Amino acid sequence: MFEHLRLELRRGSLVLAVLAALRSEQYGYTLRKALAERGMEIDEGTLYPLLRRLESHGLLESEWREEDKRNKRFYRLSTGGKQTLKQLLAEWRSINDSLNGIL
Amino acid sequence: MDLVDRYIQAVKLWLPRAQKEDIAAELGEDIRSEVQEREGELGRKLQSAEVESLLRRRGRPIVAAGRFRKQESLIGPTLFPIYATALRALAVPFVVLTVVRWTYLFITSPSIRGEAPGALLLHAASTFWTTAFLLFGGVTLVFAILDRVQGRTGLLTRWNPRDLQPIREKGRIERSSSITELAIQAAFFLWWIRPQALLRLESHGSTWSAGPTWEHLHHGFFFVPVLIVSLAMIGLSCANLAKPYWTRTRLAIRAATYWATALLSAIVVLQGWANSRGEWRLLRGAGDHVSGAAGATALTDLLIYQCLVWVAVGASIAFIVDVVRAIRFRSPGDTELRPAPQSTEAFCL
Repeated sequence: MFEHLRLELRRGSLVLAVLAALRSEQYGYTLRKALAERGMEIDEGTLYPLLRRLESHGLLESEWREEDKRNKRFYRLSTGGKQTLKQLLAEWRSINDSLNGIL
Repeated sequence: MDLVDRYIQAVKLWLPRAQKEDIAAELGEDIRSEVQEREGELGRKLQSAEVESLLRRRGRPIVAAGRFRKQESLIGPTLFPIYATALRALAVPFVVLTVVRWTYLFITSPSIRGEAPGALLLHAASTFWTTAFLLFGGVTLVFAILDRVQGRTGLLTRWNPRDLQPIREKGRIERSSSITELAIQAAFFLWWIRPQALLRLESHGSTWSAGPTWEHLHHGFFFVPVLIVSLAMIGLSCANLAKPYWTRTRLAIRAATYWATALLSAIVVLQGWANSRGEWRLLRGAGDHVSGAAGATALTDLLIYQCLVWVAVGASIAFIVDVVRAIRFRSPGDTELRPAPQSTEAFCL
């Protein structure tokens, strides 16, 4: 039961984590590594559909580029994405404050 | 990298058509990046088993591709419980009716009885499954359509709290149903003690009256038992009117009346079949020489016979249901005081 709830808690934070990590341009694999190094492990089956969903909502922009003789898709925040990230961060801080009050 | 390419090819089969190439390219690149990083750490090429392990961790191709598809369902979560209830409600009556029908056919149809057991079983099974698929397929189709139109029609969003059912008290007997039962039982009782008034029809010069089997039944063994059952049902209806809550005793009495009804119907049916060799003459046309009279009598006989069969089956099922209810019965005031849960006790202390 704890594992299930833990996953739910982490799932709620993923969008914010991904948007925050994409303040600098990255491609999928390096994004995954960057998040994992900061304690937010995410498997490719979750990350890539999430990236596509965020892009379809206009929060991200992407393009294919060649790097090290391989084609890679690079993602970065769009203007709308930056605005949304700002709002989500404010919301996150508000939630944190509320939770601290309850705990 | 052959294994990786084969994996990506398999995933592509299940990807949404519009983004197939794009997603496949991105997934392929992710896998190759992971392979490259591992090879860098190990200082050598990955072996086949290691690549297999990496792919196995990513999941079966159809599962990996499924994560990129929208959540789709034939019947959504709102209607699904109603759909499941409808299927369950249909399943038992369907099986029961099928068994009864085939038993009836076996008893009454020489051609069915003449079939070899294996062929008969195959015949019954194929009819059963065909009907089952049609029935349950039809229900599924109806609910799938409802699921798609409910958003547009407001089927599930437009409702009035005033239309909600009144609170149902457990074990309460509706007065209207007691009154209806009493009226039907009283009418039957009056008819039973003086049936001649209703069992004589005149039409176009012909007179229909009770046949020899009926007269044998009514004036013979069955008169008193049917009378007793009818009186018991009248008494039960009056008691239910006066005190409209079920008790174990009254449930048991009702079960007993159902049992008696099933038994009497079954005896009548079997007696008529055995004695009449397939012809059951409850009514006798006064002018058998009139064309069509014999056919009409035979048809009436068959209808009455079939009604009696269904009465026997229905009363048997009702008997079993009432026996179970009587066994499980708990009166409204009959609740055990349970000890308070541990956490509450700890809090109080």
